[in-house]
Amino acid sequence: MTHSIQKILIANRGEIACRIMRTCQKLGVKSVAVYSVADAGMPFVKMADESHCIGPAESAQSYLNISKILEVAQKTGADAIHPGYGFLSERAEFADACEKAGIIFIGPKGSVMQQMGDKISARLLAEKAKVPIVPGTKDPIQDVSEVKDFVEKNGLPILLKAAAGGGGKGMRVVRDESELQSAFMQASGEALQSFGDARVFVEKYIQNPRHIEVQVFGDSKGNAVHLFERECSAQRRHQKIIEEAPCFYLKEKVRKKMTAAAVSLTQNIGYTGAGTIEFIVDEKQNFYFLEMNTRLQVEHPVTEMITGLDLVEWQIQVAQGQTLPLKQKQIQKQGHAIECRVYAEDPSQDFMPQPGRLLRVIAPSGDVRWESAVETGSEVTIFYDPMIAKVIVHADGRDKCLAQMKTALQNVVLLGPQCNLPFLMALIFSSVFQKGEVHTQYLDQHKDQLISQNKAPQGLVQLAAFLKVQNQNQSSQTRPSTWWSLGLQNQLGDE
Amino acid sequence: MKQIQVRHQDLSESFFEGDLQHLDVEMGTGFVLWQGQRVDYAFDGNDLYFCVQGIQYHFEVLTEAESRRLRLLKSARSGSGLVKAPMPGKVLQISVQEGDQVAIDTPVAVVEAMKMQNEYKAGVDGVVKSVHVLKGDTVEAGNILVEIEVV
Repeated sequence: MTHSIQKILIANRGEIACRIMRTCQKLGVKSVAVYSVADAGMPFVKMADESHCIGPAESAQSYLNISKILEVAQKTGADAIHPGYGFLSERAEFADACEKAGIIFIGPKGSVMQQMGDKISARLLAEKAKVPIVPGTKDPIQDVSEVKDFVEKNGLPILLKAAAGGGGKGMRVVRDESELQSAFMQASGEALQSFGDARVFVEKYIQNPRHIEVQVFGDSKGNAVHLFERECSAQRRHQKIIEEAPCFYLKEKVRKKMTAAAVSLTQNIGYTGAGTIEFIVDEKQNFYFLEMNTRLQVEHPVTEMITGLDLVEWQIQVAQGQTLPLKQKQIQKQGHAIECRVYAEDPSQDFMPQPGRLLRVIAPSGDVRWESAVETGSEVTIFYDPMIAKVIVHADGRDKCLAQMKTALQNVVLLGPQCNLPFLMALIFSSVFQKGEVHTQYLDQHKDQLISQNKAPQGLVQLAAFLKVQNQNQSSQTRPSTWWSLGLQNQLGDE
Repeated sequence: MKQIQVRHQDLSESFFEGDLQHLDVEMGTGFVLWQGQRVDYAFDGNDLYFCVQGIQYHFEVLTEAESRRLRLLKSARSGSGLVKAPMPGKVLQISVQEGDQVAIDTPVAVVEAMKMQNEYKAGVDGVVKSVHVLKGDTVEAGNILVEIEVV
């Protein structure tokens, strides 16, 4: 049964809302943006064919407000909803509510999402599909004593993670028995805060692992394919910062096994739409199922660059009931792609998010893809994730790609709140990253080496004073005093 | 913060010996070609931000009077064991109470901001003199959470 989608409501914000709208425009599909009061002036609100405010800044009352979003969908006559990533994208109840309201949810069925969203049942399904898994508890843990039992049997270190979670929220590594109690409290507290579910589960922790994930797609006819893998080991506190496709160090034999496992799991669970199967990979390239993300990923552009495909377009086609546009052997990869995530956060202040107004934003020019949530004058607020843009480059080989990324990052102009560009540059320039030796804990362990205090170029102080005088002369009649005092804000924050 | 004094008479266009070219004359923000490279800038009150090769530099440009006032304020503040919220957020946990003995790096509070829980620690060895917030309070950037007295 196919249905041609005419109008899509995007139940999200920021760069991903803009990204989805671009494909809508390409396909001649109308777009509806929903936004909170805090986002009224954001680019995605202006870009949509129509926009509706759905509530106050707090996500719980706006971007997570299912009934309000469905009300707008019905009022505007949207026949489909794209959830983006985060927010409601992995809430089975939302997918179910859409179905009940007669609106196409662009994503898998609620029941499939539920199975894969719960890490415990996801592991069981992976096991059933003969996908390797890491030793861990089968049931959610409510009490710290159960964690102690697991440690007695399997040893340290262990990983605590939210049963209903994702994106690093509610996750804690415990290396020492003395940290157990507080780590457990923090993990379940964060889980409750972020997902409304305090349950966590425990698993054996693999030292220096790599994070490699496989992009999969399924359709309602039971077909499933993979679109190769992505390397996402550059993470800080379990949040990815840089992603690449393909994974240049992965042995072809392992790639074949890994992608085959991913496709088999996708097919086994009757998955429809875009999904990602995440693996952790040890030093010998043994891989273990980590989790499945039942949505479009932040890092999907690197896959698009190497395959030349539009994943949002595929999502829409599958949601309409169409067969997957290509067969496995028709899907080819070409070249190498890298994505850097730009966050409004200050690396020198322990990556503290930096809210504030962006005084000047200029996209890098040249051969680069810029996926941005902001423009000059946009406000970075405390209410949402501080990621404000993604820089993506594609080249023949990885070395060329790295060189292109350096130039792209140097050409980004973001003024106002401090962002992580200096850190991204230091990482891209580092020999560890160039050699591909970054594992998922590397940045947490070595981030200090990548945080440099950038000394202002000589003469910039004078330039500052000169511009101030000019600016004052332009803007007012007040006479400047005879000298100006300039304080160079120490980038490390000490006074 | 480093204070640098620049004399006004040095700041004529000739100071840059033709090495400066203004290309964007929008009020408060723009870019110049300086020393052979593009430098973007933006003013925000007394704050001036530069972007050179993707790196941001932040200056505070003050008049003599403003600068003096700032120095006075600073000297009155120094030398205390204040634990402050560096950004707005919600207090999730206060782990100490008045009279508690704390060492450097003892966690004293957890504040949630931008969906992340951040732990704030004592900056000095001492005794908790006062706790300024309650669990559940919303705090602004710069608000004092806990005051520690060095003993």
